[in-house]
Amino acid sequence: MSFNQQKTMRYSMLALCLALSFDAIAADARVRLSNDEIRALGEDPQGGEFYRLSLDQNSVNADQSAPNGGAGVLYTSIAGIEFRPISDHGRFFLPVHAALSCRVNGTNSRAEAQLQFTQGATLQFLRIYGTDLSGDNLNVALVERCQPAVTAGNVTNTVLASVITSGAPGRFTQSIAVPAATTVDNNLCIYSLRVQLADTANGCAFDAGLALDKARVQWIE
Amino acid sequence: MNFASKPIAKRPLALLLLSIFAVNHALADQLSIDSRDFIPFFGDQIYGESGAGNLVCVGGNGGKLFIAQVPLPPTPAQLDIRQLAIWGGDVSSTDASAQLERFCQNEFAPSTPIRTIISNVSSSGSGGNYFDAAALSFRVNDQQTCVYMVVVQLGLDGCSDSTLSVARVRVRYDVVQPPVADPIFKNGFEN
Repeated sequence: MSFNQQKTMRYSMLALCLALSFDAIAADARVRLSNDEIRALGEDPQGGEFYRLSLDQNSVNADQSAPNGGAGVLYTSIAGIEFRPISDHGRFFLPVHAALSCRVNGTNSRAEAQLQFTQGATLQFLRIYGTDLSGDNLNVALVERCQPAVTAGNVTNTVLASVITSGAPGRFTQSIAVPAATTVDNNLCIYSLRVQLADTANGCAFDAGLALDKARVQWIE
Repeated sequence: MNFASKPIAKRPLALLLLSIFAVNHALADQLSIDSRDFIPFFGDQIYGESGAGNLVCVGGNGGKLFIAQVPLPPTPAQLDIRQLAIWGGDVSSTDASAQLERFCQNEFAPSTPIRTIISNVSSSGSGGNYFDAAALSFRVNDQQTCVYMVVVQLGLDGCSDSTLSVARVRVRYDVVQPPVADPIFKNGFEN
């Protein structure tokens, strides 16, 4: 075996070890959701695998001190109106500013919007903008849904990051960091934002007090 | 002589190319919003499709307003919007219109979105198929804080039923690469 062949083999082994160790880290970083947490997402615990990444609460609003707006930093913003009810029981309306809010007699409080990123992009922050004048809270989750590349299989759902309002602060904006090294795999997965305009599993709080103006994901290629 | 070590001033072709790239470098592009991407302002507003596959409102509850986000590409480059255009059908005494709007908010502080109307196009007459376009020059360098929307209105007073429709709305834009601050200086160190 030539020197170059040996060198190539050593690098290949190193790359394999690194890949395996990153897989292990990724697996360990995921926390399986409880049945209650799955139902709170509006999903069926029997419907697939459900995880979330371990979130660092110290990362709330950390994007304010992160590199911002420079070369290579990209922003994907989804207006409230781009969210679609997850069932036809949803009754939403757009009060102003292309925001999303509940409409009277709505029985479903959840809506979803798909996100498009380039392959391999690193997701950094999720920030939401809206209004909370309600006793209920508004939450938005950044969700990854993955399936095997070329075979049938259950969907593995992972909440990559989530933001929830608290109290009734009026107009608000708030962010959370996506755990480091969360990268996009468009071959296996799709990415979406899921909003819930109320705490309750059923019913959409109609008092014009909860509205999502937009949600923004900061990422780098 | 090693080319990389040759003084930049003695490379006229390189100088010419660099001077070209020193000014703003624009790449024309466009996107269309299909009528099916528009959603009604109100969740229970009835709408439908014309025989040609266009978006129409349906009388009864009078809803005539529809909205869609403009999916501008996320890019660190700047975009110059050059044209707003609309296609559809009009056999009505009133008109269909599309309005390009921008909603901006403070990035890190709670704030009410500020709405800016950028351009408007509309049908006219009642001759059937219509097209209208408006030329504009609007710099987009604020996707960090703003979203861009198109609002479609089918009729002035309530829903016009199937006499007015929208097939699609198109936005043409240039992707403008910012100029290199000092290409010769930059090139001298990086090549």
